[in-house]
Amino acid sequence: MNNATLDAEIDSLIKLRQRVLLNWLFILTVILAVGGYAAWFTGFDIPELVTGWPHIWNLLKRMFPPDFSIVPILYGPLIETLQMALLGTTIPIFFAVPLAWLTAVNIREDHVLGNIVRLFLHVLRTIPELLWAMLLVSAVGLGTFPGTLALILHTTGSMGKFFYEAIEAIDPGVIEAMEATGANQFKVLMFGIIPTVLPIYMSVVLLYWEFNTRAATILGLVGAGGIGLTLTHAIQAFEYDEAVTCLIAIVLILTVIDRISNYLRSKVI
Amino acid sequence: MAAEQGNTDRPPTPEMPSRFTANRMLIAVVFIAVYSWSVEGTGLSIVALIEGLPDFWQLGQHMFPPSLEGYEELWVPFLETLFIGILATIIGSVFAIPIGFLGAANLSHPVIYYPIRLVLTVFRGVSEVIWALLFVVAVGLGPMPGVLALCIFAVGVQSKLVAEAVEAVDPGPLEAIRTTGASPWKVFLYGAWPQVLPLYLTYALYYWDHNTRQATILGFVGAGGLGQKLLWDISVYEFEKATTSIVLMIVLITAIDRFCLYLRSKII
Repeated sequence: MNNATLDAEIDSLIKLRQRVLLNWLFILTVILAVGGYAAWFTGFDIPELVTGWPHIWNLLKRMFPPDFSIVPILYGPLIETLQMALLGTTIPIFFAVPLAWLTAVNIREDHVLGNIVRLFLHVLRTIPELLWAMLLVSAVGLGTFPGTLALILHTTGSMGKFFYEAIEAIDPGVIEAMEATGANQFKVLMFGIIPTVLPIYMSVVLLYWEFNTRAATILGLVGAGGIGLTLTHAIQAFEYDEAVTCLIAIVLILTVIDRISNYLRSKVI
Repeated sequence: MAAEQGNTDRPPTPEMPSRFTANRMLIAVVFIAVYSWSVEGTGLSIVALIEGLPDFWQLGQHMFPPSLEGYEELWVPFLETLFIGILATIIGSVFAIPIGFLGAANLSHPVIYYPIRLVLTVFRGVSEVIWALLFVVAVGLGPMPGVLALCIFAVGVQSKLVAEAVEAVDPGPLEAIRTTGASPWKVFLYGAWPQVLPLYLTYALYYWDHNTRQATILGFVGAGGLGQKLLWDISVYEFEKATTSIVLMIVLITAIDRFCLYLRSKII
């Protein structure tokens, strides 16, 4: 009797294991099939990469050693990049905070307005900053102005989402307790919501500072200023050794910003 | 007053420290200085914005209503973007497992993991678009450099994340399996891997979403997909057509984003 139930249990366990294995096998097959089709569709083949190797090698030879004589002309574009990132991160705070407050479902009853704001934020962040930059460049011409605007638009959308999600994650008890004391909406916001979400907001802002610095390095590829512009010019002029110097500069400032941001994060949280 | 009402047992209210300490003032001054310097440097101002308004308005007028003319041409770039994202995610995820485990400080050897980490740092050092720009120069136009660029970056990030996940693995189960006399391979398969798997899948899904977003813009440097079509439309001033591409991009990104969320809720 006892043995029989044990056998049955073992049997069912083995069956379960087989089912899990079969499931995994099925998923892997699907992934492989889709991947194979994708490789065929995009013309991705490894043999071509191997036969094209002399060409890549040639490119690498022309890239090294880097030409450091252009370092003095890199300061201007680098500073531009940092400035764009700074403004592109701090200005959206002023838009994202009120928009997030308008659309957080746990503190606002007006779902029509909330949903419109959400859709607006969604579109803002779904369009990549490089595309915003390209559109704005075609509207107002080359320069850092369209680049900064592009960062502001994309960051407002992304920050807004993080911000309203942070508000929605608040323990409802906090708000209820404040409302029970007769606090109005403004006071609930000032003394209940903001202190609770402030650490999250700060870490989101720092995250976007890093993100925007990275984005600002590529905005130049569509003519929106910064170090990317210098890089594109170098590549278009076939001066690959200069391009590598730009790349090194990009990696350096990204690393520095990353460190500063990590330091600040450890300070504020 | 308070004493008369019998609140003598209440401790005296502590002196509030002034909000305007020297330190904070200094930070504020530095911040304002850097800020105005940035505003000057980037040329961003209300005046510039107002002066730009007619231009933005004109662009908007050109972009709307979107034109569906020649929409059949959009299918190939659309699928190309989708498949660039999928392929790069698959390749990146496949490479992330061995590289991630070899790059973890607790299971690997310093001689192996320091060089690996250095290479990974370089891989994720610059953005995908810049990698794409370099690969376009190396292997020519088309989706191929786009896939390569996304792969390089995805390997750099996903391997690092896997390595961190491996380093966070609870050593208890590993030791327990090792004491049964299991081979290192079995220790890995039954001890470490099940702990890393959920995180690994989360990262893979996240990077699918991320790669799809990136795949839409890689075309700006000639690396295939919707971006290339869009670049063409904009450079010949056919903004109504560009709007159609942009709408398609938004649809694609939103769909993948939702799908990833759905899959994640299934897995975890």
